[in-house]
Amino acid sequence: MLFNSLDFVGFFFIITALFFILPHKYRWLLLLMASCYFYMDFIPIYILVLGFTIVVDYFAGIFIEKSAGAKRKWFLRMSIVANVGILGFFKYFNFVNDNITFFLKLFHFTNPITDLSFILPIGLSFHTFQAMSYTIEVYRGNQKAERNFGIYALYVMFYPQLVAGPIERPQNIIHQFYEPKKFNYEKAVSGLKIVLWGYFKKLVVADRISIYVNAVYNNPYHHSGKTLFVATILFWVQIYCDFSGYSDIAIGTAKVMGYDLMQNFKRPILGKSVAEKWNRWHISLYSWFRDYVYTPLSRGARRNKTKLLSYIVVIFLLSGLWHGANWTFIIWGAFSGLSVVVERLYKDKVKPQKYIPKIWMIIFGTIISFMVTALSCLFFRALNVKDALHIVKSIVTMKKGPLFKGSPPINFYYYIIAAALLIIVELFQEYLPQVKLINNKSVVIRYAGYIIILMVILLIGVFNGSQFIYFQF
Amino acid sequence: MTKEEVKHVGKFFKKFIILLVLLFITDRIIGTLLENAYKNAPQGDIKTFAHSITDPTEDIFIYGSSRAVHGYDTRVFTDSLALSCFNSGRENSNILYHTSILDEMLKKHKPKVVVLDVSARELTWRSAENSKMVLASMILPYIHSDTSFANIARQLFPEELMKAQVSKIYAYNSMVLSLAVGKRKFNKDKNLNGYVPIHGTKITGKIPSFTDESDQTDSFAKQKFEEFVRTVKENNIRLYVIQSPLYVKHFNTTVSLDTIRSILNRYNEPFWDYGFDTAFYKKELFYDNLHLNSVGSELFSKKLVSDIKSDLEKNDPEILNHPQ
Repeated sequence: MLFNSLDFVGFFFIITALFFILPHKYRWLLLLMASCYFYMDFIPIYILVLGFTIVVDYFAGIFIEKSAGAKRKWFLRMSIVANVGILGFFKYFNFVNDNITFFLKLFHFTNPITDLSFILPIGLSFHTFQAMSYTIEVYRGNQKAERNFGIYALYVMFYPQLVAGPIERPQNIIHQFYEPKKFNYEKAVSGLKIVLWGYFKKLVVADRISIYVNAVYNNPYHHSGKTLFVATILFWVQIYCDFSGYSDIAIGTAKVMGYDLMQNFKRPILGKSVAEKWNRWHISLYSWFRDYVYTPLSRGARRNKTKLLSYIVVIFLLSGLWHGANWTFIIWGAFSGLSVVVERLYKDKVKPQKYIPKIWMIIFGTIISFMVTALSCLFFRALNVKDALHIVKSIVTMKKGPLFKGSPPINFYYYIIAAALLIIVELFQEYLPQVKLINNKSVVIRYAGYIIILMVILLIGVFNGSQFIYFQF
Repeated sequence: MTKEEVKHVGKFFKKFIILLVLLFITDRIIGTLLENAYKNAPQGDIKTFAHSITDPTEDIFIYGSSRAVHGYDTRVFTDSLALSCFNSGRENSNILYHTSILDEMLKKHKPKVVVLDVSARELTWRSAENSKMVLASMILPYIHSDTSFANIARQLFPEELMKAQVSKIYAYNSMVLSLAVGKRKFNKDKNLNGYVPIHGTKITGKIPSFTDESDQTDSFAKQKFEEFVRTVKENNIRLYVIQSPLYVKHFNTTVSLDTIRSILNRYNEPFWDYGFDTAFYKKELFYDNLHLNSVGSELFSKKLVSDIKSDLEKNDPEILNHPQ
């Protein structure tokens, strides 16, 4: 069930109403059933895959807690192998097999193993990582093993964040399922405001811009350098709004019921450096990699700067691979990691803050970070490496040709307006947080804000029910 | 629920209802303003559509996608045949759109000749879906005043109809710029009875392929094409189904074209294929690989009109003798 469908709107209101009507002791069951229904609305059979990891990790958590020494580690490893195994099978089998086929072909051999034909279970990377964070935290002693199977299943399946995050930590969410939630006006309104802004990002900005980006990126050989450049910049805005729009709707819907999910984005397009941008982007994933991969790795290399920097690249490579089984994602990850490393080396060696006033550091930093990320996103969006390299070449050489404006050309202005609206609002949120619209103290301004946003959604939003980009991960 | 919760719920619903009322009022006010702007649109797609369904008078009507809009010069038709001509083509549309417009037009006016430009992917699912959206954007503003449009919407896009019934401004989604600023400012090209010439060429690099072997015909689009042909025949209107010139890799046929040919055969109607006519397979005649530029469209229109004239002289001379 897509957040941007009428079905979901109905689903959300019914489940929320039932949630507050039911006594506390039955609410977890309602949420679990609702989450199952939500997930099975995509491809029902894949609930079995999800069920398998839930059963494995539920028992792994208990065994880890009960055991000591090497046995404890063994149970953790078993849980990780099961999770990564499922992820690897569904997500990477065909990718690995295709590369083996390609390699064997170079030596005139044929690969006897054929690709498997199935659709990737929706949100697999998200709930697998969330499940792994549970067993790791139990192993580390930061979380008690959950004895109530239903509550544990709900931790993995909680419908607002089931298919595209935020990737929660057990310490943040499990205890909330035990707390009796009361309907709170302020919390409900606050949640709905976040949902409203999420819909704005998705329908007005992301889906609107996607029309242009798809037209250009699906036929990159027919477009000029400036068209590809504009499409690349717009894609950066699109993917941010698509994904953060989803996160906002997830966080907002959970908040209405009284649950606080972690913040997943903090205006990354205004990051003042490449590194800062990544600290603001998909926070739940990158903090996962930081906590469970980078920190353990770097413990043994405290003074070895080269090692630490290489671990950064490793983290980004893994994050690229997490996104998808395609060389474009791996290049995207490598490019992103290297850009962070280059920036850090530059700052350490040159120390530009000594020579450049702070205000210019912020302006240049924001622009450079924006452009570098947009360029890296090119690999994220391109259909394959060949297309990506062609796009890079066309942009760098400014391949001649007119600027494609879409069909009809007037639509081009919608793309620009959509991106500009988003950037203006985020600039206010970042630098003039005291200027508020839907959070204004004045009831007139606040209501005017709601109506303006809803009118803009109705007038220039795209209502074709397109999927969220991150659902494929 | 505790007393405090009930208080919170009451407060929430009270404010929610206030918001809905304000939203409803704003929606109706802005919707009415947009409705007026829509009905008085100076030119462009909206005007072309409105003319085709509200006050059609011309002898010849041309239907098709953007390839028709930019490829069929109405002046050539009028000058050579002494018959008035209107180009009802619409970007991104296919037979779903054309059939609906034709049905509406015939309620008010019966032309003498109908020219239908088809693409080699006319009957695919993708074309049908695009066309549905284009049709939705055009007819949703009419659903309150015209039941036949409401019926089309109910059949083709019931969800869109429901949204447009709830919100008045939703019918004008994605049109606000055209309506607020006026199409003229964004489109320097003239609109000549629906024909919009485009100038020069932007073709560079290799000649691309247009067809896709995985294409399959959409059964609904197929049914609509047959309905289009049948309707034209039943009204004794002369029909010409055309594939206009392309500048793409040569192909012999496609599933859409095969289906079109077979339906036309059944109705004993010809299919005129200028797709790869050597007279037009020249880069300088095209704006891009699918669209003739102003020079190309004039040349093509002259050739087509000459062929139509010969055909009419031979098979239906009455049309040429008695222009309206």
